Amino acid sequence: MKIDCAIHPVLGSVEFNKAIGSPWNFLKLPPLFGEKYRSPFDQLSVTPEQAMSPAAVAAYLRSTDVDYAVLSPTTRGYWPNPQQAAAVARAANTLLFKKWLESSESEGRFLGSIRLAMNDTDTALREIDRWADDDRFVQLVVPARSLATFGEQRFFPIWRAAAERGLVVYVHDDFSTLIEPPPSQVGFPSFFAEDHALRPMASIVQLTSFIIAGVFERLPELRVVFGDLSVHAARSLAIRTDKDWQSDRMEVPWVSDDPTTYLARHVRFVTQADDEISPHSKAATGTIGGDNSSLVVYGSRHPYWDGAKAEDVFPTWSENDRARCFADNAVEFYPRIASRVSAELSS
Amino acid sequence: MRYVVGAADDLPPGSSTIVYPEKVKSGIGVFNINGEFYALKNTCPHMGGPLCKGHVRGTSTAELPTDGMPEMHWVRDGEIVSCPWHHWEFEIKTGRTIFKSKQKVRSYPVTIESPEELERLKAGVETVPISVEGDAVVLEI
Repeated sequence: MKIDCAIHPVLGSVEFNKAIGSPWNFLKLPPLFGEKYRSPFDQLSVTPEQAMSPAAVAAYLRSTDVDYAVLSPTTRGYWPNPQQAAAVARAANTLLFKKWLESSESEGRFLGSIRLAMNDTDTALREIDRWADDDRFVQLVVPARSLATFGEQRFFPIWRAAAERGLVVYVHDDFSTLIEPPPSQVGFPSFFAEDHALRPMASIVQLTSFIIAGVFERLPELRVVFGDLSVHAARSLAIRTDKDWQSDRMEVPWVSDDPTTYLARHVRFVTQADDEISPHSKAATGTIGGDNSSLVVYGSRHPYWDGAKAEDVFPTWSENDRARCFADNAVEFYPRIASRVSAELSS
Repeated sequence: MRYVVGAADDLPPGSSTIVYPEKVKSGIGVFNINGEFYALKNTCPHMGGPLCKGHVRGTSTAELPTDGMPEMHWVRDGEIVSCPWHHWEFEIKTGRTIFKSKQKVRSYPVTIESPEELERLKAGVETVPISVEGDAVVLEI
């Protein structure tokens, strides 16, 4: 079996704006990947038409032997107008439902994400309620560059709802292209190449926040997947939280064990292109925070140019460990995929 | 072996001192918490820092409600010493770390001996240059 946890279909500007509705649909949408840091090449590996087409995506999945794919279209990150943000999230979810999940091309392969705008928690909770009863929605998707760290209390009801309803929280770094905040703590790098290399930063900030603010401590059932952060990049910063957690106790007494222990229970990392070349990828087991072979879930990140091909990830691992990466870990981690697979097996 | 720290009156509640017996050259910290005496080795199990020179204080605890932020409280004032090097917290009465672990710092039994009892013990006591008036704080090391 193969499960692709990261398919990012493109919502075309015209259909997207139409779905957002008035008065919000007069805005000329910025390009998907932003305007400040333009790549010197096309960032989609297929044509825009193919990226927007359920038939084309289904053909891609058949060609890569994928049984289930979790779809999460980008909605350009943070929208400052909270009314517009809510309309955008609702539009994305409606489009995903009507055009993708309900399409005949799905053939039962397409699984969905409930996109949330993080501006107002009550609005986000209502958006979850709108879709969560449809068990094809297996996760919430939230933007990494949310302008506030996810450990803040105002987001807590969203994580609690996710934990209660068996929905994974998928952190997708989709750039916040409307406002394009500085991509780093120093400010603005000069080149696309730098900006691209620094991609993991926002996700690392959110991972650290989840751990240190005690979100994982408080919600034993919460599951988080990072779509744009390799297990190696995550670990190199997470180790720092381990170094000093005993000293930090006076400020954050709820961190009750060394922080990387939360990784194995609560976090998974989608396969990234850096997995292919990292020397740390050779080790499937025996690493801080949990075995690599337990912490990664396969995601092609189709149709982005910098996704991972299945045959290229972790070639030195045993067949068993690769199988865990391609299917078992996702089945184990996503409650709604687990029940879907077991229902299929028993039918 | 018994070791005389000094006069009990010289160590009022809330105070502490460090003594350096020949047998325990890095020192032993002696603490008076509300009239009860406790002694800990002056060596942090983390990286060997002078634990007993650290702040004697309380610590934070938190309740985690289903709604709202964690509620923090300051508790156990005077019962905790934190190592000056990396601020690991230990409960003075037992030497155990406040954070969850199996680590602890060694503690020593402390008794208060009257002058008469001290006379009787003199044979086995590591002698102290100054004489002690009144009750004495005595360690078993």
